[in-house]
Amino acid sequence: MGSILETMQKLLHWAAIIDSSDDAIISKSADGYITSWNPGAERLYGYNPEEVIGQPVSMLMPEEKEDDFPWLMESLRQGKKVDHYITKRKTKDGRVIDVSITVSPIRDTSGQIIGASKIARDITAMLEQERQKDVFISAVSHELKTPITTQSVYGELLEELVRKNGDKKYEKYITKINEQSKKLVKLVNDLLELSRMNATTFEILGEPFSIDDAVKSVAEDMQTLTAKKITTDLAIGRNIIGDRERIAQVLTNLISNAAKYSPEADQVSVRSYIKDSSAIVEVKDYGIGINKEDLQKVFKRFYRATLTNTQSFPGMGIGLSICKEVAKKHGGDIWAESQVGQGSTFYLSLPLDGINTSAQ
Amino acid sequence: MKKVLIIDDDYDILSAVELTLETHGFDTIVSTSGRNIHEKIQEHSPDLIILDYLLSGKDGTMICSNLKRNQNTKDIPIILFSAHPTAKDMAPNCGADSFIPKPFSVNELLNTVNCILTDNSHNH
Repeated sequence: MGSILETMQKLLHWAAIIDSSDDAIISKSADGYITSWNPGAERLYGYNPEEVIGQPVSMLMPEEKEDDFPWLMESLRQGKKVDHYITKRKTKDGRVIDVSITVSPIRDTSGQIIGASKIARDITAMLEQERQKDVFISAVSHELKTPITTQSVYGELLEELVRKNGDKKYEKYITKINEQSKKLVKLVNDLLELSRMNATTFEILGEPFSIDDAVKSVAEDMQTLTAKKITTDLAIGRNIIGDRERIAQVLTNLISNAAKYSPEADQVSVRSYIKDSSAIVEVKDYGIGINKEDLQKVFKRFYRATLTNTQSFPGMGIGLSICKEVAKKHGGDIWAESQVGQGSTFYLSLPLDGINTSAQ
Repeated sequence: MKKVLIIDDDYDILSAVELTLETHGFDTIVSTSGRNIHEKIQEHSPDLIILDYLLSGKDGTMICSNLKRNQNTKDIPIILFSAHPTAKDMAPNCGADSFIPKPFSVNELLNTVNCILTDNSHNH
């Protein structure tokens, strides 16, 4: 009796948690029919349980997201969990809302999948805030471009003139001004790129291209800009599906960082290979390295490692966050390993069998 | 001396491009709007037009499309320039021969101008 009471108490406890949750928590059968519906779901979608239980879960999908149903059901059949998938759903009164959903398979005691639980969170307000922030960044960067263009062009013309006149002292000053202008240009372009990348409309191209060729081409371009020897060892040997231009942007960033953060070293090594059905590109430097604490944060926006010595490096800490976004949009990832004083290795992994569309 | 017509509603950019081209051996005509563009072309017969993508009053891409459709002006090469992030993708749709993103460097501007003028002289 004691154990039945305990089980009952546990069930009531869980039921209370589910009932009081702000998130919509529903369950569906293995063939996609709604089997339970919490008050959070009622608030989010506007239907009461009597209206939806026994109905197909596809009734919540707006026309533009009808494709969600087959692949979500396929994931369920394969026993895969879908985590924080950002999509759209339709409410009873016909509104289309932005939601983040997590779908987890439910198994019986024999391990057979008998349905799924689905947690949905309304993220409309959050996305609107993000959109406004991106519009703001985009507008600011755009407005900055005109004065920066004028400043750079006049600066360069002045530098030409000063050089022609052979005035070494002024040449030094104007060179400094122009170097700073170039940094400003890069910062503004990075900011714009970042805001574009976060925009909900941002899409990457999915075309076949040779990742080895892309690495080779970027390494050759970067070699013209650095005195360090950039070595390559490329062994993927096949095409992947993705956005060549964006990937080249990531590789440029990684190689340029490797050169920048290894002032004393004379080499940067780039390798490409296949591992666990992913194409991996590895960029290794022999520079100052990154301490453990900073290593977790280098891909965050506006994060810059604090250096223990007196060296300083230009930048605002958004390059790697752009790289991370591009990798994620491809269904891939980017990460780093490092030892202070020994150097760092940055890894870019991309799926060999094409872009994972649910990641976009 | 090659003649370049520059159109941008931002006076500072206009002057900067004008000065760059003049100090590097080009003849320039400037305008802050796309109004009376046909009259300007007829009067000066430019070898190249550099046109802002978004002009206040009239869209640079519209001007570009119109010039490329007109028998008298269709062979004049046009470079669009813009700070707008998606302008590069739109430039080919209106028939522009090249695109320069703002901010640009003196070298980028001169290379594009020289490249377009060389290509055009080979084609004609």
